[in-house]
Amino acid sequence: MRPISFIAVSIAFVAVFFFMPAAITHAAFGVSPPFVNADHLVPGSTFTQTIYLVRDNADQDVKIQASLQLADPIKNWVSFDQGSSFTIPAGMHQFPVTISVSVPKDAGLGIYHGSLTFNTAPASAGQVTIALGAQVEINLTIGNNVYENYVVQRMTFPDIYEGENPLVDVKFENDGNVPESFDSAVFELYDQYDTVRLAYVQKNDGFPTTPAFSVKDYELEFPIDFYMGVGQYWGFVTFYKNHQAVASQKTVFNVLRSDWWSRFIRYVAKEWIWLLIALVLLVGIVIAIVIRIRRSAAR
Amino acid sequence: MKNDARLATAVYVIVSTVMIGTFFVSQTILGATSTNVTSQVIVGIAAPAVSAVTLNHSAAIVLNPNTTTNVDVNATISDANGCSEITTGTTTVLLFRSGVTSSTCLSSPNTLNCYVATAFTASSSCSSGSQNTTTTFAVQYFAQGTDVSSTASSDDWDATVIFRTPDNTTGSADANPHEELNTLLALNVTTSTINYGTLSANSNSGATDQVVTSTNAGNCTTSLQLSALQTLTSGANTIPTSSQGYSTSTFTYPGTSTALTGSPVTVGGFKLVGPTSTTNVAQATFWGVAVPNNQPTGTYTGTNVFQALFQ
Repeated sequence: MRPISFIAVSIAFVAVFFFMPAAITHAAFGVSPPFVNADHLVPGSTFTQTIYLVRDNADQDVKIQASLQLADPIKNWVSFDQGSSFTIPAGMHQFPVTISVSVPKDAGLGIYHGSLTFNTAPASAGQVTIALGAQVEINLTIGNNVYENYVVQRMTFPDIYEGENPLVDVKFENDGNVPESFDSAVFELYDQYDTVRLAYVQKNDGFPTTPAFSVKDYELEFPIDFYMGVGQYWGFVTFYKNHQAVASQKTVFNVLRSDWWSRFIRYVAKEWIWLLIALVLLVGIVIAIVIRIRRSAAR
Repeated sequence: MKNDARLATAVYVIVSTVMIGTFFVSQTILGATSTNVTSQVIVGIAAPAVSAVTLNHSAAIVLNPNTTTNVDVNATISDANGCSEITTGTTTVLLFRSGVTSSTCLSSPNTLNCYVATAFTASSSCSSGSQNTTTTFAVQYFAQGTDVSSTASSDDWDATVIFRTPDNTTGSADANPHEELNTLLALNVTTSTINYGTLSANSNSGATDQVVTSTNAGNCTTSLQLSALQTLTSGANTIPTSSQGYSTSTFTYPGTSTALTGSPVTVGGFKLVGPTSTTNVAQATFWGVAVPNNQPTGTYTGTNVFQALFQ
């Protein structure tokens, strides 16, 4: 009887304890931006967007649980690169997560919604701990219209070596649902005081195409009939599409002294890089074989 | 004929010697009073040029919650009069939402949509009258978003670099391209735990609510979703998730409280508007719990999720 009565008493006076100590490190948590709005998808489109999980206090690692809430038919269209469980390392305030949407070619037109949630794991146990979370809305519109929207995010003139042609680095962001490229471009070269035009070149081909919903970085060369010696120059580039100027940049760049060794390195890096890699691999394999043969002979 | 040639040569040498000698004598004796023909070039004052202005390294601006985020404005400043003009000049760098305009920003800076700096950091040594510069702004977490779902979606963020030389000539340029400032959805909970204390079986927290304060750590209006990530558990024993209740006002359990669920539920009457200053935009939720009858003793632990929802 005694054990039974003890249990009964215990049940009658059950106590629930929640410990007070709070070892948790407070940190604000969120997501930026909190939406993926893909409004101009067409059947067969692929779309990617990077969102950032953000926090103010990055002293510690933080574990994240992520889950997609999607209904048919888009359940299998959406994915993200980090998986359902991952860790944001200490020191990192902004953690990128890339969300991809692949619309099947036989997808029906329509508007679809879903969400992706991220929850932090509480940093301590022993109480009713509080975890923070944030939700990313996913809004997809599948249509059949052509949508053009692009922006040139960057145009820079890298320094070059004497005797080389001017270069322009371009970052082309295509937010539309059709591939895009420039039609033509004009490059004007001025002296270091931006007063005397030294060269003018029009380029009508050789522009890379940026696929729909993507960003592409590339470098364009503008061959000119003018030897640029060491010094500083002004470059002025204008890009055209459908005979309209769509982007331009004017700034200074440097022409550096070129010795045979740096020319050689650049030539190898540009023209022979794969050959060089293959050569290194080949030498490695040969060395390994020789070592193996010698060891076999030694035995 | 031979003598004539010798004579001509002698005359030539003598005349030349006399002329050269005369020149040097005149330079020596009369130099102080002679008139020299000099040439001069007046180097005019050239206006400085500002170029290659880029904002946040040509990427959309992503803010950190509840704190500031460094945003760079890079530019190249050139002056045909040389580097001394640049090193002794003054600069004004503006970072602002395009709807504000640079002139308004210049006269009334604020942390919501307009930042002004009066110095840059040289990011290269000045060479041939050209200097690469960087200006870093500490942008607040509540700075206004301009992306597609923000309230200022027709705007973007721009940067203007104005440079003035000691000669009072100026040059300026805007960032190309402008950049979006992303909407930031973020929450901060200033309470680390919900501590219900000690309760007996078949009892509840009554009028003793536990208070959890949430603050908006982003730049948009936020609502709140609540759920249990892990229900209250002690070994093999659990207290049902629905035993916890919450409300946006005080209550006597269960009163006006809403039972907690395993799936996120949006809290009615809870809305945190976007902050406009470092003053917190906060709202409290009140919590209570009931312990079922016959619940075994133990230390019950669980985790509740406070999830921000963009509104």
